Amino acid sequence: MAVLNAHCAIALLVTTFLLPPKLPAADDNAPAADVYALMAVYVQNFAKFTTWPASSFADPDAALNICVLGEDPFGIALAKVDGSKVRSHALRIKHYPRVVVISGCHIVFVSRSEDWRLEQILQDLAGAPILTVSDIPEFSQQGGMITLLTVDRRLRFAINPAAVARGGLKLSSKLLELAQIVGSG
Amino acid sequence: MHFLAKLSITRKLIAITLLTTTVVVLLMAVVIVFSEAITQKRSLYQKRTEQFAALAEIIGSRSTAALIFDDRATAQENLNALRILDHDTDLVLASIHRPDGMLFAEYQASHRDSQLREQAVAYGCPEPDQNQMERLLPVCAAIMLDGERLGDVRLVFDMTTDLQQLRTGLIRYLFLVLLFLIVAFGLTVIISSRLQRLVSTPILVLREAMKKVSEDKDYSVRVTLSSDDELGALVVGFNDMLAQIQSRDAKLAQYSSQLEDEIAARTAELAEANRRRILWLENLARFLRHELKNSTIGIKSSLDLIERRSQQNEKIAKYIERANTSVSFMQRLLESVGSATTLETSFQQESHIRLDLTQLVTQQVQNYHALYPQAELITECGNVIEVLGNHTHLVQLLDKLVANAVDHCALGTPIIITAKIENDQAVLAVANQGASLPDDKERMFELFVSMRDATHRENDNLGLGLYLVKLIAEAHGGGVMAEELPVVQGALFTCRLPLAD
Repeated sequence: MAVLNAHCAIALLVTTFLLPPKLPAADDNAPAADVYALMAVYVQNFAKFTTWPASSFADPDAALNICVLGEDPFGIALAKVDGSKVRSHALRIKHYPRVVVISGCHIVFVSRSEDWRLEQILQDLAGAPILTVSDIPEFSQQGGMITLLTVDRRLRFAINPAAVARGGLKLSSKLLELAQIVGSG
Repeated sequence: MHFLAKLSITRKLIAITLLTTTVVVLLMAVVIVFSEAITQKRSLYQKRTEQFAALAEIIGSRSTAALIFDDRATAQENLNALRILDHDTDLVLASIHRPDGMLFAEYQASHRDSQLREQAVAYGCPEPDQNQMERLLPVCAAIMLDGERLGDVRLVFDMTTDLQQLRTGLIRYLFLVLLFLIVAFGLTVIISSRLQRLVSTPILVLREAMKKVSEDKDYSVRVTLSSDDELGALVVGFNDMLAQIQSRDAKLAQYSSQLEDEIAARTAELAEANRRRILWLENLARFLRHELKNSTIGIKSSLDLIERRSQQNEKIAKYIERANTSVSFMQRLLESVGSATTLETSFQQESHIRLDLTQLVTQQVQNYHALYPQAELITECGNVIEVLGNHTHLVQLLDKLVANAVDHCALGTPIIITAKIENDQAVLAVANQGASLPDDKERMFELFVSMRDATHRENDNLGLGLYLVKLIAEAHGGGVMAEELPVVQGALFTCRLPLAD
């Protein structure tokens, strides 16, 4: 019996880790915490497919700053990313309550808490070489660069290439291939 | 190699060249085709591996984001793009795996048979430089991002078509080699049949020369052929040998003719010496006969004178009578020798005529009855026996034989005289009973040889009779022989003469 139990345990383990992550039933307004953990990895991976202008970094080994604007929905998930490297840059996580105080950010994640003043935020960040990411619905349609969204219980993303181009950034075509392409409404 | 032994040297040389060429070319062909097959196959696999690795890398690079963002659909789309290659390459299976080997996306070429696809699924990634060169060729490329391995692209190709093309090419190559072999064979036949003459011609010429020498015994034959190899040496040796034989032959001929000349000269010398000796003897005999004849006349007349003057003195008369007897013997001796000499010289003068031997014998026997009344003579004669001869001499021959028989005849026994033809020869035989012949019969026919007992010595036998018989028989081209009578004791003298015609 002990052997059978061990087998069952391994099978459970395999199922848990190897099967593609299925998202838990999401409520429209607030995705679950594990979805945010996955989003944290996505944000980190976006950095891998994005090219900033050389002027964005003081030196080649300078830190790549990921800033969370508003309430941090990631919990410790994003904190785990802190310190890991993308190319030659170490990732740094920063938190800001408002746009006006933002400085030295390369990626800005706009929290759902900032939905009410999104237009203002996007205006403030317009033209800056900052990759804007958010899970606010229709974020890209309003001028944001990448919108994280759930399709068929899978985490997907939409990209507004025009907004990316305005910020002087370049996204890898591989990334664009996976994304829903949207334009500013 | 047995079949080669029976061929002529020309064919042998060609056969050797052809065999060697064929073996070498075949061996070369096998080695070349094999090494070509291995090299081409290896380079084919290497080329395909490189090509497919590039393809795998492109797919892998395009699938990095899909792997990171767990977008299987996009990865699947990337793989599905390979469909357009379906009919250009022999792709069986394409798949993307996570680093832990878990399948992320897979594309299976639909037109491949399922068994092959299943086999391809089981294939892992080969170690680098580990080229299996099997029907299925797996190629892998790692999907990397920022030094992190995200997964692998695995492509499995079917090499059947490529291998078939390779095989077709090799078969064409083999045919080319075979064609070359045939051409080489033909060229070898042409070249070797010309070049073999370098070796075979001197041998054939030598053979012809040897044939001529052995058939015609003509040692003046020389082989004119110059080459610097062993065959040239053979020709030179052959010519030298012939030259030696020729010179030896010449010397032998010279020696033999010299010898003949010498023999002829020596014979002539001997004949001349003999003739001179005979002449000297004849002269001596004539001189002695003449002088002795004169002397005996002188002695005889002196004896007559002494007899008359002795006046019948009995003592003297006795000595005179003995002296007279001796002188008479001397005179008879001289007469006999004279007649023998005359006979020999007359052989050259008298000519032979055709005469009948039977008739001659019959006539003479009548005379013998008167001459030897005490003897019983029996004649056995047949028909006419014609011979070529001298009548006087033949009569003399018969006289001597009959006289000899009468002398040796036992008292009261007959003497048989026969004339007949035997074996195409005329035979004249005289047989008598009495004393047997001496052991040395041939000596009886020599001059001054008398085999008579000493008691008969006082009779007038000087050993001349049988000598004359022999001389006459030989002068007529015949011969005489003596033999014992077969039944009773006695002698048979047979004289054989050639018949006329």
